[in-house]
Amino acid sequence: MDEHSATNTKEENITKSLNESIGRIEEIFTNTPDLIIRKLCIKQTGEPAAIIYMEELTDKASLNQNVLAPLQLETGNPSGDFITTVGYVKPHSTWEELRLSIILGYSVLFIDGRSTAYALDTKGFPQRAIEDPQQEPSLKGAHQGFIETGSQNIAMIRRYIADKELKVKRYIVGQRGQTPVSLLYLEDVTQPDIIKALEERIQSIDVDTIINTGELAEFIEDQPLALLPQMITTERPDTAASQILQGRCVIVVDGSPSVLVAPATFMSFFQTVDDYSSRWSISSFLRMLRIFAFFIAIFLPGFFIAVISFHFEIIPLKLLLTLGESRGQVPFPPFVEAIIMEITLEMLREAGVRLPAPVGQTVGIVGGIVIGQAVVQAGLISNVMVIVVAFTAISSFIIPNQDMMAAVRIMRFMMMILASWFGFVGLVIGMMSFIIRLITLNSLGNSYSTPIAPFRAMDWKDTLLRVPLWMMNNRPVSTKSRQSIRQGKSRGWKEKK
Amino acid sequence: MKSLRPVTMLQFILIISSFQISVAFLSIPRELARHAGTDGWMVIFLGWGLATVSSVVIVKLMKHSPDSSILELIQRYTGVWAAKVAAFIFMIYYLLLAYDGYMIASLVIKLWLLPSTYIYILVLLLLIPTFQIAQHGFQAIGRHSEIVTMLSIWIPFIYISTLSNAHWLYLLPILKEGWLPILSSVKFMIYPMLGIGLVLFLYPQLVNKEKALPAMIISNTLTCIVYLGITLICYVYFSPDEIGEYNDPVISIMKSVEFQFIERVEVVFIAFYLFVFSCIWIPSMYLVSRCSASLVGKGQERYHLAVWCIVIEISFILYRPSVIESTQMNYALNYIGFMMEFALPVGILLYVAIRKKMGGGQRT
Amino acid sequence: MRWVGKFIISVVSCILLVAVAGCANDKTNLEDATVPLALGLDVKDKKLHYYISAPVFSKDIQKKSREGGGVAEGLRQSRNHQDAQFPGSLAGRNFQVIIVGKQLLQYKDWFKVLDVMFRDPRNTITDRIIAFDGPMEDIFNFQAKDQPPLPLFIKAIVDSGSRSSATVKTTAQELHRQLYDRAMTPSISEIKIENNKIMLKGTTLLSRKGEYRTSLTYQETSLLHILKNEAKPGVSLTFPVDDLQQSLPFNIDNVSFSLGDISVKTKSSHENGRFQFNIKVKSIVSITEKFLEFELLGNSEEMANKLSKEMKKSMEALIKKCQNYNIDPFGYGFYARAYQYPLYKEAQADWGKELSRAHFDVEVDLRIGATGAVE
Repeated sequence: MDEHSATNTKEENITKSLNESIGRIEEIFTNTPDLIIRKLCIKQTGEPAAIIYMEELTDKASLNQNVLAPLQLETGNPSGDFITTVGYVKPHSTWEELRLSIILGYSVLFIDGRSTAYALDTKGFPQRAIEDPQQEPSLKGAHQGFIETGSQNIAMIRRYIADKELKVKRYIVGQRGQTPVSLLYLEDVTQPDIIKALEERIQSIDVDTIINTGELAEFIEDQPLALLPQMITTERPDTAASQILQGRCVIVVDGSPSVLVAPATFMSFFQTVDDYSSRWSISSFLRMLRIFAFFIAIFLPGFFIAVISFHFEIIPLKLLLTLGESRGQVPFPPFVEAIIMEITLEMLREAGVRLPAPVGQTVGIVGGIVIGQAVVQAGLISNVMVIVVAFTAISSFIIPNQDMMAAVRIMRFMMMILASWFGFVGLVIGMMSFIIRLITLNSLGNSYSTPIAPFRAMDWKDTLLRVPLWMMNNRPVSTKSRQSIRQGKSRGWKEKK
Repeated sequence: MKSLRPVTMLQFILIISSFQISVAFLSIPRELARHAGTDGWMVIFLGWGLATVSSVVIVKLMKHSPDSSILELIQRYTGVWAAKVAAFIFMIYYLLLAYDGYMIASLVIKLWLLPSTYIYILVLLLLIPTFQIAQHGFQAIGRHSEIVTMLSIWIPFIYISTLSNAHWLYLLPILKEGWLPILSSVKFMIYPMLGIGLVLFLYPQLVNKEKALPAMIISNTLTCIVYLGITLICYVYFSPDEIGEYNDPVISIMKSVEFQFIERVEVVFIAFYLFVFSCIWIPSMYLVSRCSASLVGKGQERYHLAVWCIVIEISFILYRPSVIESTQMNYALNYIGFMMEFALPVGILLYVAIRKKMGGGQRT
Repeated sequence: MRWVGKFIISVVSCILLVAVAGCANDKTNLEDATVPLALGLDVKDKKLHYYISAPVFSKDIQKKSREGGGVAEGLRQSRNHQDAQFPGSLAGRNFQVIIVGKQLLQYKDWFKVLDVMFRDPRNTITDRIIAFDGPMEDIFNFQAKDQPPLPLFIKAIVDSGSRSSATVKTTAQELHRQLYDRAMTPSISEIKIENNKIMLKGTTLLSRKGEYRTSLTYQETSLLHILKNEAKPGVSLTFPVDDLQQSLPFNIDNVSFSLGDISVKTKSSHENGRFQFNIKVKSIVSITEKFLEFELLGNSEEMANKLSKEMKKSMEALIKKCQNYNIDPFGYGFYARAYQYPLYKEAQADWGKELSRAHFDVEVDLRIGATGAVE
């Protein structure tokens, strides 16, 4: 621990002398112009005191009204101690804790003659208003997403689960960042092994700081080198709440608007919150469409290359003639053509992310339509290839989770390479490797490919189909929850007749 | 003894069934047609009966050691050296099965899809997923069999769609040459039913051991239903005079299926069938590595597996087998398989029963 | 250290894989290949000739297909010769039709020429086999501005013709089955060129060894389908009902009807040293064309009887014709083999001859179900 700190502060106690304390503060916080030291005299007890706070981390109104005003103006406390009307007051006696409190935004009250200092909660750093989540918009669900303050995020989750069993375990991660990382779970539902494993992994992280949830995910995942994500990242409180209710754990990182859900299965990446608020028939259809789109996005370009290069006898006759004609003009072999188009599309996508909104739309139109059209007419790429690549891109956009979409983008290239070397055989080998990866991945001890393999019939209620909600009486078997009944008669009024 | 991960009932059934079906599916109509004529489909029932008897024997045998595989059982009753010999024999046997599987798979691909690719390159491709999964044991293999079964559901429908051109009269009259051809063809049913020997190693990992026998019967029945289906479909599609001419009637049927959106379904079928083929190599290679690990005594199974994969690859580089040799090996495997999976468990069971009766007890 | 080892292994295997994949010998891109769609075989001056028609994949060239031909010792042997005429590697994977000349059909066992179709698994076997009476160059050099490319056109007319039972649809696989099966003889479609148009002529019947025997007209082909029990509802037949042959351009005593549900039951037996076949055809028909003045409403029974009699006569004539040539395109041998196996076994070496001695008993029972919108 000591390697990371600049100065070597030992567990020192605060002296009773106010001037010494202030001198010490100035020693610790050199080159910190936003540290304000306000000397005052407490009216109640008559002691000289000083309030020390960081200028922009403090809610000045609260500081003025709840701390400075009562301290300096009010008397009448029967216990004879100083008066503040702040909610949170914590006494500290070591410099270590004080240093931390000041940096985190608390204002610290030093009183002459006492060897404890008091940390007062007047935190008020700039934070964003609650908005629609950018990455996971929904049609029918709530339009609020997580913001960057961890405690607010936990509050949003608590609004959905007003249960005393919802426990929050808090850890501080990162030497310089001191990021609070909170683990939320339902005590009587979640498997204790999962909680223990997560706790162990979080507490053994030794870094400077964690800026984003993605970094935390990489530290605590089972296999970070794998292409497929093993934990879900979400920006929506309703998704996080429903995952907790299924028996999973949610990890909230202060400073990041995404939370982690662990453990995850492959199928959980295809579930969105809209599935449960729409009718079951459309939800099932969309679910199947998503899974179908996932496989299309990985295998379609490879399939096309394999068919054109190795096995063109399977193309129906009329298509063969038009295909042959359009390929006859193109100078490149199919694999090179496909790679060119795919790389161009990836570049367009990245460019779209960087550009601000209005310019981004124009670029999309320019890139998509004009370039595509021009490229075909110049005879560089056949129009069938443009269709294939565009269709693949659309399919990959359907996947709800960003990490999974990223995995798809990379796997697609591998399949294309295999297909151009070995045709269908290469594609099948690629498919086999992918399936084997799915089977052998473990997310915190749970198999990744449930409920497909091992086959758990009860969990199929929420996989390809989304059966009507009144049939989903148990929590998913894959989370091995301790208490598995989550609803009784959800349509009780029907039976009363 | 490392802890073995449990295998569910469904996985158990599917591991055995897919092991049996994977290679024999393609050759069974041809063999039965060449040796028993149009009455060959009745041989399947006899094969089923034989396999069921052997399943009963194996389950009874394994009941004597519910938590360890056959090797430990032999070690307990006859000592360490006999167990090492047994491990060696099983290793060679499963190596033979795996080699046969790779050979047939790559020969079929070479014939139907990629004629000019060297066979050792194809085998190298096939070894990659084998290595990836066989190191993880029977639980992963069980999951793999489940997924392969789910993916192969479309195959029966295509075959059934060829029934619109069926000539059911080809099957009549029944028993036209009498019982002799049928009875003499039973030996060709041994190879398609090999897979029950897997239970000798799989039994300790099964979750519900009491249900082992019904599970084996279910998987034998499933296998035989598939065989019966494909044999009947081949028989009503091809005339009895011409079916002997075809080397792979199963795939030749696929060639004549015409769809609107895809012309030659058999190309997709064969490429896809690699999934089903893999269900014979993967358990075999896993068992080879396990037997060799227990034979040598040290080294992780993963490294043994890697070594055996390299050995197989090198053997394909040095010696390129042909279709004729694969047929000969299949014939030989009928006899070898009979000894290993039908006769050997009977022998061991008798030995164990006699030892127990004589009060010999268990040696540690 | 472990991950360094894994890294090294994966890099080495990637390099190996790249080196290995360099020998992708099977790769033929579509634009580099020539895919002939039609194959023609004929005998000229006692030599086997082959003809190929392949489409051209280029927007600039007006003519949509290229033809080639030459003398062949065997189909695969002539591959080099074929390759010499076309750019790109020839692949026999997409044949749609195989046209066989009448001259070739004079020879026994001509089917062995097509052995490569079955032996090389990458060849198609669903190509339609069609007989053509005339010189093969006429077909392959046939260029019509208003018709789609030749192979597609021929395949389309054969397919639609077989659906309406004007001809049979015999693929190479089917012909293989019909030839090898000793209990039946083959039948293939036939086309002709008339008035500078390619049209269907009917069906060609072949002997056990593939030699040409006779041809059938459209109606006879429909009857063939019915007797084979392969007729689909919608088959249309026309028969004269009365002997009112007037000197008009059209026969006013013809009545056309289309068959609805057809049931054909065949029973085989062996009496008096020869096979007996009892055929019962039952169907509900709907009248589609009638020139006669005939009241159908009350006398439908009479009309049905007349039609049945005519149909029975035509069927018996067809069977007699086949018996004269010692052929069995219907497949009655199947019944004999199924039900009278020992007796069939003796005669299976030359089933056609045995069938020509057989006795047939045809019964036709038609019932008029509908007469259309007018009476």
